[in-house]
Amino acid sequence: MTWWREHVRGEKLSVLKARDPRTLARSWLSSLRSRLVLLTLAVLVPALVAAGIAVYAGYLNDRAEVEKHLQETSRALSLVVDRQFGQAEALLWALSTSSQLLAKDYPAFDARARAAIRIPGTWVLVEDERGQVINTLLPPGSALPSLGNRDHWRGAAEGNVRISNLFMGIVAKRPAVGLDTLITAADGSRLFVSVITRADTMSQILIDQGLPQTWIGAIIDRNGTVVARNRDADRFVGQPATPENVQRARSGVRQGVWESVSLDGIPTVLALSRSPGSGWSTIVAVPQSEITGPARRTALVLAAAGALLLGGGTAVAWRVGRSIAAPIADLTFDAEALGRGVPVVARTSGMLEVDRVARALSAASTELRERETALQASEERLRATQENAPVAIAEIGRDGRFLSVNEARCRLTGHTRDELIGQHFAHVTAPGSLDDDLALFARHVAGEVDTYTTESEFTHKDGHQGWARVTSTAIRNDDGVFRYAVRVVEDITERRAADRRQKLLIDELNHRVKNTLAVVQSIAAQSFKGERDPKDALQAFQGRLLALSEAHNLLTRESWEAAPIERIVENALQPFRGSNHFDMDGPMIRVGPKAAVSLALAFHELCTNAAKYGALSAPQGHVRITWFLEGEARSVFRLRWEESGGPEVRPPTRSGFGSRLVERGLAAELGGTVALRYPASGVVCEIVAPLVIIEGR
Amino acid sequence: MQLEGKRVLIVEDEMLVAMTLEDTLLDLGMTIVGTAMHLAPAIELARVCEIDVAVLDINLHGGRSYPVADIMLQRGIPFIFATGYGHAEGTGAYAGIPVLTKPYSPADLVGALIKVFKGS
Repeated sequence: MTWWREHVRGEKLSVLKARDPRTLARSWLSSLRSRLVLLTLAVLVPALVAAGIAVYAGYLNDRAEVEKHLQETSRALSLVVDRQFGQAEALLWALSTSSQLLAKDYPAFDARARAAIRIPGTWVLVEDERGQVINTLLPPGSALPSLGNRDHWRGAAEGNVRISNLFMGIVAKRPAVGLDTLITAADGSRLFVSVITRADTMSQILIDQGLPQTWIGAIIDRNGTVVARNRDADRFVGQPATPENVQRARSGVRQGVWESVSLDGIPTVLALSRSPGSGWSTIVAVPQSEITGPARRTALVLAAAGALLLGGGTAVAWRVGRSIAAPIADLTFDAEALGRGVPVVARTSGMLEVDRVARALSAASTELRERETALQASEERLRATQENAPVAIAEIGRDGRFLSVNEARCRLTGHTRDELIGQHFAHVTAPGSLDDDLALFARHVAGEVDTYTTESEFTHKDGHQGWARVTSTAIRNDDGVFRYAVRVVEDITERRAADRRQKLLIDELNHRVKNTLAVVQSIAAQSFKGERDPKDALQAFQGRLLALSEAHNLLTRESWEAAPIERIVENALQPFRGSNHFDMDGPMIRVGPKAAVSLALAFHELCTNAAKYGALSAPQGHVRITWFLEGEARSVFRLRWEESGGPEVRPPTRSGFGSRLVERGLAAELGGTVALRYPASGVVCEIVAPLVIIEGR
Repeated sequence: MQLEGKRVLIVEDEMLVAMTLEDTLLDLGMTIVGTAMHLAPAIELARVCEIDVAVLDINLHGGRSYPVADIMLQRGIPFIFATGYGHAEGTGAYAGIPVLTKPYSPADLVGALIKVFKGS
């Protein structure tokens, strides 16, 4: 039972029992050990069977040989017996034709007969109707017994020799066999002539033949009575042979070999040969044990050796199987380790093929691990890149829902990763942009478009609106089926605002330029109005243009925010500096662009006027410009331009452009008052305006 | 000349441009009701004065002169826009109001004034 368990790993016995025998057999056969055992058996069993067959064939051969030998021996013995008979027969013939016998000259015949016998244990017997007349067994002249009967004459015939069956000799008192014949004497009476041989003489013949010790040789008469035997003659001579042999003798079987049991109870193989002449049979028997013995021993040895081989072979096969299966089984650990990504060290099992596999697994493990590492590194890089990219990257599935988002994407709309995954990508798209986004994505999935870029408005988690530029790329599998889309989102809120600001700035710039052109147009119109000399007009025009330009330069330096009043005054006076003396004083005031330009142009007019008619037209002339803040909260700006040291001032007859610009234009521009007076000492101009307008706030 | 004697309100924040505009309108024989360079005085003049037509600079110190335009519309007084911006302001209520882009020639100004008088 344990053996089963060991074989069919981890299976419950109950389950085993439930399965059908074929599956069981197959699962048993699937083991290496079982197969090796099977192999061993497959090799040994036929070999043993062949050996067995060889032994059996050998046995059969031996037996045939023995039987042949037996048969030949029995035949040979039969011939010997016949020869014996022949001798006796010859003697009989000689004697039965003796004239002395025919003349019934018994004494003479007696002497003759005695002299003629050369066969040991043989005597001659002659009988007439009354009884024995000659018996060479007895000493000559002995009284001879009379016949009880003449039964033994029956069967004998004149001119014919009959071999008798075994009989007990009357005189000899021992078993004997006779060659008989009948003759007719001269006087016409019949005589029974017999040459008788003692049975033990026959036995001696047998013995003299030199049969092997264990063999049995016997001669049986026509009745089946044992006449002679090479062994235990005393016991068996005169007894019937074994019933089958008796049967064979009586039924006249010529020859043959049979299995038999001897008279002393030994199973034998027996050969019988019948002499056609005498009708006697010679039997030669060999104990069966002699034939079968060796074979049986061989078979036993073979069986023992076979059993040993089978047992030992199976055990060895089992062992060897285990020694092979174990390293192979160990390979499964290596393979598992390979699958898990654990390093595999090539083990040496001593088995070439297994070691090769182990080395291959080890190499594969190394390669896989390297590839794994490289892949991991690459994945990590990719992930790190994606995660840390400054642009928002998201992966969207077919249903438009987020599969993955990077850090930047979370920051874009202010959601956490958990809040985004599973959401639809348009979850915070403003309604106005929704349709485009969804339509394009649908085309993406349908396979109509691989990449698209769109701008859409979105709502940040904290509520503020933003604009995003989305580039979506579809990732397809080999069949072109949409797998997912990669969306790269740029926050363009700032850019759009900047674009808008730029547009505004450009518009503003355009406006300013247009305005400035309009101002230049006005300056030109004013400069070239009236009957002025074109040269003068041009000069005036250029002068004003330059003043305007300087004012712009100043403002540009201050980024068009505000210019210090000092700079404005200086710039305006600059072209008119000669040896004249200027004076400036006042607190720092930052003048707004509009007021700065207006003041610059106004000062230019004042200077031009002073240069033509006033303080700047004389070397000792002097201009003094002072300004200060007054009023509550110092909200009123006051500036005073005072000329002195110039030629006598004469008030102008009519209002020229300059005075008009200064008195009316500037006043209106600054939302204050400008007084232009012409005292004799020198022109005086007083400008009063709210500080807020001066500063352009 | 149909512009002769018409009373005109000028709203313009650029001093020199206002001066030249005054001269041009005066040369056309028109009467200057007032020249406002800031929104507050412009609204005041627009409400109170007898005006036949107004020339409004849209941009007044960064702000818009629309409140003055609205008063004009309310009072049914024709007016034209003058602007440094390149685009026309003719949307909504101001659709149909002529827009002059600076710098404009006197001829353009005359044309716009006549047009607006025709329309009213």
